[in-house]
Amino acid sequence: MTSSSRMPGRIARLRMKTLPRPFLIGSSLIVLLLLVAVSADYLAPYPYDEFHFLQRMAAPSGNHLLGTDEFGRDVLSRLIFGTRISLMMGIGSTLLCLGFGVPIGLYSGFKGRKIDEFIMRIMDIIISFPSLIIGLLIMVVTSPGTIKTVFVVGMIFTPHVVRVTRAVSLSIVKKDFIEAARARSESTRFMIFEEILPNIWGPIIVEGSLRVTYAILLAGSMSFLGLGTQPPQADWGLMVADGRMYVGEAPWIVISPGMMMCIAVIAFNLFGDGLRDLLDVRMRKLG
Amino acid sequence: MISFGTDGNVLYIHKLAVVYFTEKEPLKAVDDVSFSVGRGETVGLVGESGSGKSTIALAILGLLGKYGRVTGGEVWFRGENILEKTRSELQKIRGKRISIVFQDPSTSLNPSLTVGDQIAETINTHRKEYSKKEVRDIVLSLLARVEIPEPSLVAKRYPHQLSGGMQQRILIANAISTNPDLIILDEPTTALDVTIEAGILDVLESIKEEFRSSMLFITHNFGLVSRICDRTVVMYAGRKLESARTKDLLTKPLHPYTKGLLACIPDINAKNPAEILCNIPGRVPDLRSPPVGCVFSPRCECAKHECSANRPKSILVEWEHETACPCFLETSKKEGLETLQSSLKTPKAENTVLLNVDNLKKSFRHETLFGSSKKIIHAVDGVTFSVMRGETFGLVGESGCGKSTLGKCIVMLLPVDGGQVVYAGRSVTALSEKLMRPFRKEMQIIFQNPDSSLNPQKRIHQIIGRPLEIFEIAEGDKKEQRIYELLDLVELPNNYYSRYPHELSGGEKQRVGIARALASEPKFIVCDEPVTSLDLSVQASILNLLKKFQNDLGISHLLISHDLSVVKHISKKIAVMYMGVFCEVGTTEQIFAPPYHPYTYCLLSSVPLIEKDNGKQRARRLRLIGVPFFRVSGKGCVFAARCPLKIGQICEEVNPPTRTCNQGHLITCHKTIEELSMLERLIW
Repeated sequence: MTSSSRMPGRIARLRMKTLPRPFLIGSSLIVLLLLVAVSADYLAPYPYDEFHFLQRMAAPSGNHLLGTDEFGRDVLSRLIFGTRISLMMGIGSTLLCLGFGVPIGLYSGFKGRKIDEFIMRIMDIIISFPSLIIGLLIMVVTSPGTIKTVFVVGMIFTPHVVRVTRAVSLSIVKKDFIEAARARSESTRFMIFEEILPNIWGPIIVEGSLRVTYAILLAGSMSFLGLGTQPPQADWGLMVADGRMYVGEAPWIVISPGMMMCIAVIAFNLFGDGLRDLLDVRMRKLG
Repeated sequence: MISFGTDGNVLYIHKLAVVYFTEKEPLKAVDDVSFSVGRGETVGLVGESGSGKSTIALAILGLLGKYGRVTGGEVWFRGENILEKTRSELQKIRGKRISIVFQDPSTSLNPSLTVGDQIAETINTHRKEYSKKEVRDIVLSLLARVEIPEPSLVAKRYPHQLSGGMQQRILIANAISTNPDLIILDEPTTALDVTIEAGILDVLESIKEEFRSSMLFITHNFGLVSRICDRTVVMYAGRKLESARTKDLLTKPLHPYTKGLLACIPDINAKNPAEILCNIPGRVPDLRSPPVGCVFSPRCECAKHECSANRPKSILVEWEHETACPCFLETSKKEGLETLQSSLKTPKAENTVLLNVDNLKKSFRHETLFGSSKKIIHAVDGVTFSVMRGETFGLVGESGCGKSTLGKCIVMLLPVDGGQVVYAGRSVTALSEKLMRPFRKEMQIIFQNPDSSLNPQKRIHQIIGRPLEIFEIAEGDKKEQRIYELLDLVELPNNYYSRYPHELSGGEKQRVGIARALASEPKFIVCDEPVTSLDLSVQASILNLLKKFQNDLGISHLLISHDLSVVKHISKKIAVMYMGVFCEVGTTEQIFAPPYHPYTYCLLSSVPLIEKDNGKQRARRLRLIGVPFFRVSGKGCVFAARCPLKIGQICEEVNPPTRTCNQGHLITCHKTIEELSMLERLIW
């Protein structure tokens, strides 16, 4: 994909002051989250798996800034370590489903007719299974693990990305510049990646930024069912799932990972929206 | 304007100014425009896109939307200033006293109501006194009034079951249903074919005579103005530049813009047509920061210093003839044109065949995973013709006749079902993409819509440079140099090299599309409606460009267009196409003179001409009968169902013979050449 390699260059050419504010907020939040994830070992005040039986479900205090959970583990520490796993699962599986879904969707939309029909019906079949069931199926026959969760979530989301990519590429395929490309014997590869793809980065990026958040949630629910992240490791989804039973007595167990998810969702959406505008040459001012 | 008062006028607009408040700076869409519409009078509002003509219509109706605001002036309607009316007062005027017909009938009708109900709704809203049955009768009589066959059947139909022309008739019926004082027609026929347009104009003319209602006719087509408007106002960049009785305006225009615009139009009726058309260089000013002086001065040939410094006042030159150009006496005809004309080389047409199309067939059907449907549409149904080297072959036909499909089949962008295309002696119909490649270099295509033909994410040099790369014509520095040469060739400045398409105007984009097609040094170019989506002044320059390539570079063209005057201007031979077959093929002179094929005759009599001669009455108007449909059986003449000169049974049952009347002049009709020669000559 030569176009994707050109993407960073396109952004680099823009000066900081021309960047829209939502994009700046979104990307700085993401950078912050990534920093937290990377330096979790230094930031966390306690190990994520250290039990403090005497302080089970303790309210936030000077010792435990965000309180403790039902086993007396420090919520803040778990949250910080959880950031690492949640982000890895969210971003990893999104990259995976984009990597598979985008080319398939482009090909399907470009070829049209029977090939398109065939690919889309297969995608329908995959989508018609509840995603959790497929996940469970795969995870049950093999041993669970974080990396495997990334793959499974990526696979589950691929048909969704295929659909979106195909839908947006259909409007581009009809354009005359594709006809012009065919009139000079361009290869299918060129037409798909050089002519169509640059025009649909926008919707793909928005889809991708949404997928990150869905992926964090789905991975979380798998962890909850004991098939993703293995306790005592923490991810946000797992923390919410675990703390859910104690909402009445200790709401802080659920609130803080919930808030983190919210922040991540907003950050990725702002980032995605901004990136879409930056990549579209039409949004730039007239030279 | 003679009458400055409001009496006698149905509509009187005084110094109207409208501003759109956009995200950036405010945009002055209409600035200081005054004109009036008298009782029973039809006033034309002409201008290119962005001249503010539709904005005026919306301002009259108070429908400017949330970003538009009237910032000055008055709109008097029957002695009352509409701008001072409240919302509810306006609602009583809109639809009842003033009605409007928009350009696109398919979006103006409610798709979930029958057309009869929609008209009844308008009547019920404004005239509560009628009973249900009375309303029904009125609806039926209105439908009959706009010449809809079988009104009682049509009234029960939904909009999607009717053709575009029928839909527009419904909207006109709706507009006259309340017997309004003023009907605003905003480009009512622009989306329609010329034969259908002619029918609509017939209806409008008879309504005008019968109801004596005033009309404000907004259009960009001077032919329509000539046919239907008593007086005409010329708009440009939100200002009024000239207004006059239509005949005066067309015969002795005063403003340089009007003069230029009229000279831009390829005159279908000219006895000695000009080889090169006049064109207005430059582009419409940005209305966010309009010029201080005359809006046209940046593009005006005779602009003087004071033109750009002071805003010209409207001068009343003679009776009802106003112009906003103080130097109208000095403005003379272009001098540059002769030099352009002489620079044009004589075409080096050789008498060798470059392209031969033999009984070409292409049909479409819906395909799914489980087989394909039975319904077949024969888009091209056995077409045979040949194009000589260096010659332009024109292909005329109305929408849906298969002309674009034919063009795409020839350059092998669509696989053909039967027949073959022979290019320079070799059949190209069944070649693999690899073998096709050398032919792709030689056969190129130019598209109708410049917005869709350029990839918005690519720079101009990438767009033009790509054919150079793929056909291995030039690399590196040589490629860059060649791109500059190509930009030169299509008369674009060098600094466009690294621009993006969205930074260019429509005409400039079209030039880039042409440069891309020329990059591979083709011998044959299919031009699919190359000027249809462009404004008049830009259209002329593109046509000049095409003519230049035809003469200087010896490229053969297949020019596809629905516009007879464009085709006549540029082609040497013409084919008239109807529903996938050729009705008539011949040289340009042969096509425009009798014997005519009945369809050609209808087309020619439908074209709205710019009448400059005094009092010359148009020849008998012949219209298509019936409604368009798709032929099911393969027998009989395709045109039989709509032919006003039909002989009888034979037309529907027997395929018509193709007769040769002169050298190379072929007519496919049951009527004999002698009978067809009797038809009156319509166009010179």
